[in-house]
Amino acid sequence: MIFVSVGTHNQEFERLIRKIDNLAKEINEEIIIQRGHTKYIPKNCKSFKFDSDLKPYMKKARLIIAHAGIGTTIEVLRKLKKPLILIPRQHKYGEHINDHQVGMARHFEKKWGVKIIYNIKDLTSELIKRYDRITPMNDKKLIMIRNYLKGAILGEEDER
Amino acid sequence: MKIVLASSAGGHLTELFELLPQDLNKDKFVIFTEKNDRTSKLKNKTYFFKPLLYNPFPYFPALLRCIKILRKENVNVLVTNGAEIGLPAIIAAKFLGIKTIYIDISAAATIRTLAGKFSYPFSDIFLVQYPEMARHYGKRAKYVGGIV
Repeated sequence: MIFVSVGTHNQEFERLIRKIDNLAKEINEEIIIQRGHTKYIPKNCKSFKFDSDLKPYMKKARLIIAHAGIGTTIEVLRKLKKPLILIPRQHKYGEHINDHQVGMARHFEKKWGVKIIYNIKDLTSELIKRYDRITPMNDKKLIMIRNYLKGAILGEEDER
Repeated sequence: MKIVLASSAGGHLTELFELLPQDLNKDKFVIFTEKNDRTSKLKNKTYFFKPLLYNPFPYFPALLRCIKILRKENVNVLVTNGAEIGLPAIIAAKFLGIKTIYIDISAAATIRTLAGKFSYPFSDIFLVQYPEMARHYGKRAKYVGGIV
């Protein structure tokens, strides 16, 4: 199963949903879309607006395709360690209030080797069918900041 | 040791919980945030504030209320990652001589945040989550790791 998620942000992400709906005709695998605030309803695959917990869908999926939200990315790469393709929401298409998802996507690409699609044309049925690369994200940096904060909060190391 | 977390109710608060050392007792943190389905179910002692958005006027009553609560609660450290009540809270804490820690949101990988810009002068410790972001704020901004 391929799970597609665009999160809970209150702007549409029709560029991605429509593209997946078109590609679904060429893909023989089940596709489920969490379409959020996007009004367009896919015709060639299953979709729903929101669910209180997306983890069961992600656990079941072979591949996850999502907007470049921090929550989804951490869940998939750090906890589930599954193949992930990210499509950052872009301000110029009215998909977000600024381009921070593009900035984060570049970081994920450079630092963790995550597959990023900036131009929706590059998202093809071939890519979706064969994509199986796993780019796990370790938590070294997270442990670093937690340790620092512990010292800072307890007043043990103000300066470093 | 009493710790206040000041943050908007969505992803900011989730991230703040995730960033804090896991061996501190999370349930003991006092929270300043807005009320929604999720925050109303928190186990923590929580003070709810009305959404401030980009309107400067509600900031003053919020600031006074923060001062009053921080005094009453006898707080030692305030941690915020900005947005909504974060700014009035960090100003109030600084004014009362409470230690202030600001952590820029992980979404700010390339773009400076308004919360960071305004909170910088009121922070004792100012952290960014990407090495390249420190130069966007000032000399005291530092990178010591981040969520991703």
